[in-house]
Amino acid sequence: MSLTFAGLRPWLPGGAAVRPQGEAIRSTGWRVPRRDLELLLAILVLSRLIILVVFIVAYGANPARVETGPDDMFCNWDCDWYVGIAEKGYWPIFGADKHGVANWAFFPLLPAAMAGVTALTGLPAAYAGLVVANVAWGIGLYFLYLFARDHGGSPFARYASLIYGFWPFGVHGSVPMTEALFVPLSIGLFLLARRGDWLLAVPLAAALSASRTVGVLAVLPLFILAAREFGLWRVVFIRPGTERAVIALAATGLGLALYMMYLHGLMGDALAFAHNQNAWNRQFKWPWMMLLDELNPAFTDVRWIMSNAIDAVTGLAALTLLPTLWRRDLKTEAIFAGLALTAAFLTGATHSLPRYSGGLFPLILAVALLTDRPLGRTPTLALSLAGLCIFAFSWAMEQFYVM
Amino acid sequence: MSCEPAVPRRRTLLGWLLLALLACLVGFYLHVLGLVATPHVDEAYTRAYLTGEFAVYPSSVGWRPGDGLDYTPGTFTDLRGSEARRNWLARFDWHRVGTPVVTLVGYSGRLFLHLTGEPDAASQRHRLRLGLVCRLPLEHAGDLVVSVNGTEVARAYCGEGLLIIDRFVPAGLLGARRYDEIRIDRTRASIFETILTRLGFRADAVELDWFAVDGE
Repeated sequence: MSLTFAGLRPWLPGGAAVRPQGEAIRSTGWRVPRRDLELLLAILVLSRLIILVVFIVAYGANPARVETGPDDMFCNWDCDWYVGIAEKGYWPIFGADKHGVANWAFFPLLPAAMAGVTALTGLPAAYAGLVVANVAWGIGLYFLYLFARDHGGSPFARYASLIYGFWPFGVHGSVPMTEALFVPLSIGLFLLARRGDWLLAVPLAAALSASRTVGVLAVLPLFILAAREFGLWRVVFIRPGTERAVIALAATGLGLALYMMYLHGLMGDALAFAHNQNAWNRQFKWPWMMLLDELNPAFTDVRWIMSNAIDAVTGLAALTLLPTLWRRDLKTEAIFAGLALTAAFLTGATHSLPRYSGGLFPLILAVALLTDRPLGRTPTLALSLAGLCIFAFSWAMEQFYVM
Repeated sequence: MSCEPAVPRRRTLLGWLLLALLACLVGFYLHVLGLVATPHVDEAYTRAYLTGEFAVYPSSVGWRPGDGLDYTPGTFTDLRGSEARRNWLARFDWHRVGTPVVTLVGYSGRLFLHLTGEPDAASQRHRLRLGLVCRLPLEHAGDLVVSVNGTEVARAYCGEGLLIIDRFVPAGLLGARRYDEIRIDRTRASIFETILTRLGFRADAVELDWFAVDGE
């Protein structure tokens, strides 16, 4: 049975036979030509080197930080929380401070990986996080190259890889922050799902929701991809041959569910990660109410209004990239980014909106698609590189925008 | 040209295995939903995290006697200090317009106290004193209603200037709960007024300066 209603056809096709031209899922394989491999390795080494040099410069420029140890150069903001979890685990119910702040709000995949590397190598947790983040970043670069090659061919893949390599928000993927896993996992998941490698996608789908709560939102775009490949009703009724896709869809909630079960055993509340958001000044608000509150001199310190406004503009700018993805046959990725951005805009606070936006790989692709033209590439790469340097410096100096 | 993928007509062994795995996953998700529906948390956690009533978390490791919501009858508590305000004022109703000023906006505010040092607090009669500053223009002035654990104990006109409410509370009302709730509401506030105030378009408000509860 197939849906052939014209307006729904691109969305809810009854089978691959009705898949519109240009939406085809095609794989260009896993091999990378030697020339491109050299480029990827150069991007990997150069981007790591740039960030390291900027960190060292920022560290030297701020003598007050020198006393706190070299790991403070790269481990700021939430990184300290992840290090704490990797070293000592989650707090019990009485562990929160008196204003309610607790580490339950931080998802377990990154600290678990950090603890694993520490156990294997004996590295301190912060440095273990650095290893995890940069290895994952390299894998993410490979996945992104393949994804972009599937979508737009080798020249576009090379350009998109350069954008990914010098993406300003890439600084979050280079330090022990959860984006370091979320970004590569989300790229890999969509790559595999688009290629129809559903069984390989299962562990990535499960891990994604253990890295950030919005990982679970991948279920809708994955469902659409599955419906395109097999047909809507075949997936809904789990007809023979669709089990691989359905198990991948079901796995999108596994990481989150395991964490919830753990929290219930630890402290009695399976939703503690969400309930704790209150203490972090995050609660559900409609976006217009959030903006009215955050930009209102009656409620917000004037010094913060400009910062909040910049955060909000970044989030809104991210939304403007979605139509590009839509037009360029990356509708499911647009939906994923749109859902994640919507969730960010409903949390009642503008801070971290830049990080949430910058950690969505479809937006990296959107920038690459928009600027992939003779007069666009060089200026974009130059701006991106400058942005990376500024963001890395700001990160080391604990500036609020990059939080 | 057909792009139809190779989809088997009969379920393979792998398919059956995946179906079994899917059934296990669904069972696990139902189990987790059951856990979500049955939290095992105390009242302090509920009011701090689930209903958002407490601005502090009294079950925390940072909890000390006299800290947060603990209150020993007979203590005069000046709320002009920002720390004291953070400890004593409930999260939702009292809006902090900068520090250290805390104003009552939305025309409603609550204090939560955990009475300590009185073994028979629940059977005692208490005297409740509240010091307020009213900043309500004439057209918005009205009565303030003070209630303890849902029972009205005082009502006073609030316009411009200082207002002191001094009332004896019936025996057994204060100390009856783990956390007593003292609520102050302005009766005349319309929804429109409340919205305007919450959005910061109006500055008229009531400020709670100090309070004291004395055992008899």
